[in-house]
Amino acid sequence: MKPDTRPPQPPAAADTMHAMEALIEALPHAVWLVDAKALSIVAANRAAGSLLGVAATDLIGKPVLELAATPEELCFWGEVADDTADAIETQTLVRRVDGTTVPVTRSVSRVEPAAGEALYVVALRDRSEQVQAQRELEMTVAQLAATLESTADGILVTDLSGRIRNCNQRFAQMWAVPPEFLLQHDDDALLDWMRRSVVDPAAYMRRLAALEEATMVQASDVLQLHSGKVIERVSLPQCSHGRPIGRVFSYRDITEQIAAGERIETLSTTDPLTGLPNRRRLAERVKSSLAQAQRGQAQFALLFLNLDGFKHVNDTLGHAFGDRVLIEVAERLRACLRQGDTVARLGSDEFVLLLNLADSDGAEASACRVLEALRQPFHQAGMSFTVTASIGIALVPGDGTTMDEVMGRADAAMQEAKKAGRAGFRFHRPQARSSVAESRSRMQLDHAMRLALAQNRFRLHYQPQVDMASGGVVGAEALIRWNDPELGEVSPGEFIPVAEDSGFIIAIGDWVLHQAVAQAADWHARGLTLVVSVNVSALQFQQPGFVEGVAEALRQAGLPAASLELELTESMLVHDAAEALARLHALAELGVKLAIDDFGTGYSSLSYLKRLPVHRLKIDRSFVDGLPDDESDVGLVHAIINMGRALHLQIIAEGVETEAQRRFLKKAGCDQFQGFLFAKALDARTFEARLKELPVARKRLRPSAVGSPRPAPPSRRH
Amino acid sequence: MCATPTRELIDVQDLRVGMVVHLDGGWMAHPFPLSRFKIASAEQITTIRSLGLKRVRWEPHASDVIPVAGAGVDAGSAVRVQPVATPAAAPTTEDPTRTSQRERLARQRESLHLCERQFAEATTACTELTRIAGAQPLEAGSQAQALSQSLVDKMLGDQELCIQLLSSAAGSKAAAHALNVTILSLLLGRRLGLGADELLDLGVGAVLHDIGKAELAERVRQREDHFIAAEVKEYEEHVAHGVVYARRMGLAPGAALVVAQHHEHCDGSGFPLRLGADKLSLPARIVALVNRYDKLCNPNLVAKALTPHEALAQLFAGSAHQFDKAVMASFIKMMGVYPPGSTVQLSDERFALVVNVNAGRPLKPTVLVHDARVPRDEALVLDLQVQSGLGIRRSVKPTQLPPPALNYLAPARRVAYFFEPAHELEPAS
Repeated sequence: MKPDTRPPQPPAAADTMHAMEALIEALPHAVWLVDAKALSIVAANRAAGSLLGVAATDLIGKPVLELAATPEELCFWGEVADDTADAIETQTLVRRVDGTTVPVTRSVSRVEPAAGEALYVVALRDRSEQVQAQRELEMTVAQLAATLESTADGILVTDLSGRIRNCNQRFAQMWAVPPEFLLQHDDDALLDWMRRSVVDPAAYMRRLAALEEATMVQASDVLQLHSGKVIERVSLPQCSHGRPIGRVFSYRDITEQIAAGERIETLSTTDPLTGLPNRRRLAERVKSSLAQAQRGQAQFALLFLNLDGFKHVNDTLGHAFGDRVLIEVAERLRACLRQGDTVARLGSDEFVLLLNLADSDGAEASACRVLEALRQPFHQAGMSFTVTASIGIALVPGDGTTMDEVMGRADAAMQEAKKAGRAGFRFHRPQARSSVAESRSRMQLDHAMRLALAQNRFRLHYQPQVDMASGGVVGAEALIRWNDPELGEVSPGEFIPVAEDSGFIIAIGDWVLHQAVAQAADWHARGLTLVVSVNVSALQFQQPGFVEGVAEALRQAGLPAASLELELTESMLVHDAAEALARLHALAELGVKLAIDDFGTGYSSLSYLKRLPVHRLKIDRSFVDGLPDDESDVGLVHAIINMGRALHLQIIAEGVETEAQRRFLKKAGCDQFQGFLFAKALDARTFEARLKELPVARKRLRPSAVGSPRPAPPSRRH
Repeated sequence: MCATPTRELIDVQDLRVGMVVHLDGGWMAHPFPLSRFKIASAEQITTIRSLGLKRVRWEPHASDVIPVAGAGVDAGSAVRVQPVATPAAAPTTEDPTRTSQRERLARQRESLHLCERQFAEATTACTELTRIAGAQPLEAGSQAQALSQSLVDKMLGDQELCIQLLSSAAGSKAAAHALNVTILSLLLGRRLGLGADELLDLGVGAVLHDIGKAELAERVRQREDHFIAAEVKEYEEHVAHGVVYARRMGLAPGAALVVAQHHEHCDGSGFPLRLGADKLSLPARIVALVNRYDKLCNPNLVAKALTPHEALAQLFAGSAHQFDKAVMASFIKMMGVYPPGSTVQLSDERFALVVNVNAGRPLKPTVLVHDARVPRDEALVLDLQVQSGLGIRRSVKPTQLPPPALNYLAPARRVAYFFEPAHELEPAS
């Protein structure tokens, strides 16, 4: 120390000063002494020097205000000077000589070492580290809080005794905790609130108690809340220095997830309309059955089922009606199954039955059971009708090793069943595959069809209609033929459905009508009085201006209306019945004759039929097939004929191929017939030639007609 | 009983010293510090009569005198005058401590409410004159003059004025800032002994100090740390724009100087002219300091807000050289080391909110103490001046407060002040 820098002191004071200096030097903290009058530093220890970044001796003589870094310091020494204050202890700042500030806890107190002398002892403790640690802690806490709030889970942290130490907003939200519980830190209220929120408080409390006991256990539970929420609770022990200090609960709201999961599971594996398994679920089951079959452990059958003519139900009666039919079909199919079997809906009117452990006999029995179940009349919207189906059957092992193969073969077999007249089943036959492979794509057909019409490639053939009583030809049904240079002979059964789908049927129908009317007019002009029948499609019939179009065609050709017959299907007349009836009457007024085609397969009620201005019914070929031996066909044909009689309608049967059939029909009271027995459909010239031979040639011609190949039966004839 | 406004009307000719009256029509319509007060002198009666009012509302209950019977008192109100005597005597039968505590709280609430209403009224005036400043500069100038005048009128006289911390400040950020700066600048100017005319100019300049910002794009109106040089330049131009406004508004030179110099520093580090202390007017030096103080307490980003104590400490420690020493010292004396609105921890560990400064004892303000046992409505207000041994240990940021204390003390997000005569608020001893 440099004694000369000290202010001059009286000897006694100097002694005191020495004692004080020694005293403060021994203290660990920064200390300086301030003269009460001059308010300048009279002594400072080494620690003070290092705190302020200066030699302790250099502090001697400095006014205290020079070190003041805060207004507080300024004010305090001001009050000391005014004698209004003599002590203070606060957390504050001191200014180092380099201008930087240091956070300190500083206490100032007044001492009077001797009478008349007063000093202020300023003691400071450096808080830099503490402040730094505090700052870091705050940062950590802030980060932690941000992390806690940024998670989508609700978080609750408790200590070992279950007291709440922390939670986030999400937690409060999820449990709908009243905000005051959190504000007031009312643990009991909060814990009780949670207890009362769960559906099973007793189990909840037991679980919590168990967790409290087993401090290191990790647990995951699912809680049901009264609010309907389902919460997954994961609980982890919280450790510090390897010892448990509490527990972290995280809560995840899985209500949506569960609901969505259930919905997706259901949606993804069931058909929403019928509730039957869908293609996906079916695929799983077929796959597992295939796997079993490959291990040689089992065999199974796949039945591919398609409703016959269902498209017309939808087209004519509307989709809502069609949907109701599908639902009932699904129910009937389900009722046909054994346990372990599957029925799935692939879409529209396609169903697949998977029959485990079934051989060909079993499959056939099942197919028969299904056909029988569908044969029972359906009752919908006050109507009663039947639905038939075609079934294709594939068997494993044998018909493929993959789902696609097996399904494809069952599908092909189903197509075969359709071709064979529908309402039946077929097993897969290897050659059926090739015909499917060759079947023309619909797009290709549609395009070729349009080209064919433009290039006038369609032809009309005429099938004679013969009067039972006289044996004379009284009419002709116009049927469309298409011989394409590239595609070859395309049967109407192949292209008409495509035309119906694309709407091109309107153009084709129009062409047929004009062509047939022109031919009839030609014949009429040449003294050949025949009624020419033309098939009308649903779409064509529904066209506005259809009636006017018919009248115009007749007028142009100069054909008496009575020489034209329009063949309509029952279903066309049921759809939008009032409109249909109006149209029929308009046509009848023209003098055009009307016939109902495919009679017996439709859905019309007798009372409705009675109101139609129809003059003829046609018995569908499917009923004629079984004559005269099939009892049900016999019954049906009798019924149709009797009904027609009662309604004063003429009856014509189509598809008459044998003399036995003709004889039966004649006996039953049928008025006319058409079919191979007399003649197939002929081009106009051949038709004319045939008529000329007629009175003498009928019997002689018969063998050649029978011997000719039978074309694939079209679903509708044009 | 003070809460329900009186309906009694009395003819101004019948006013007597000792009557408690209400002056309607807004606080700026009369020169009294408060709209409700007890008439203390014959001069006040003369002033009231000079306002052009025929009758004023008054409170017979609270008044020391009753009017001369039949002399101009409403017939309807005369009926109500009668039962006054009984309730007036009632308090003597109650516990005097509880009664005085309740009355004190009610009075505090009422005066806070009054201050907030006056602040709101002034911000409305400020917003309006700012709105029309572009189109009708002269009218805006005279409205600023009127606003400043009404504030100065209420500060005149020798009575001690007390800074009142508002619990909520009305108006937009910009208007609240202008008002805060104006109020504190006027109070500081008054302390520094400015005359009435100088105060008037100071008030006008303070209200309009940022008027030039009307010419700036919104994004450069508040200076941000990330501004590039061009943005800083744009921002600083608000002073030049302000000077143009001041000229158009026809402001007095003293007021215009405040607008021009409110960003200049005593050490020449300010803008736009980098003037030194000798070139700066005292009102400009005042506004420069107060402006900075308010910006620190109420920054654009709430997260950056300092407590009033921290703001003051920062001004003192970090930028003392930029400001006039005498102005700074006086500001500290006026605001205290812990200005109202600061959150602190007391030497007995309790947390508290500073609500009032005690003149001459900057370290011993009056505080509202967090005590969970006392309902928030009846919170303990302690005058540290008379609590021996109890002092402030440290300043605490609101975010450092334990949640219950934060909840209880509920420091306002935006620090705003008004003033009132000191005798209106006598803290508990």
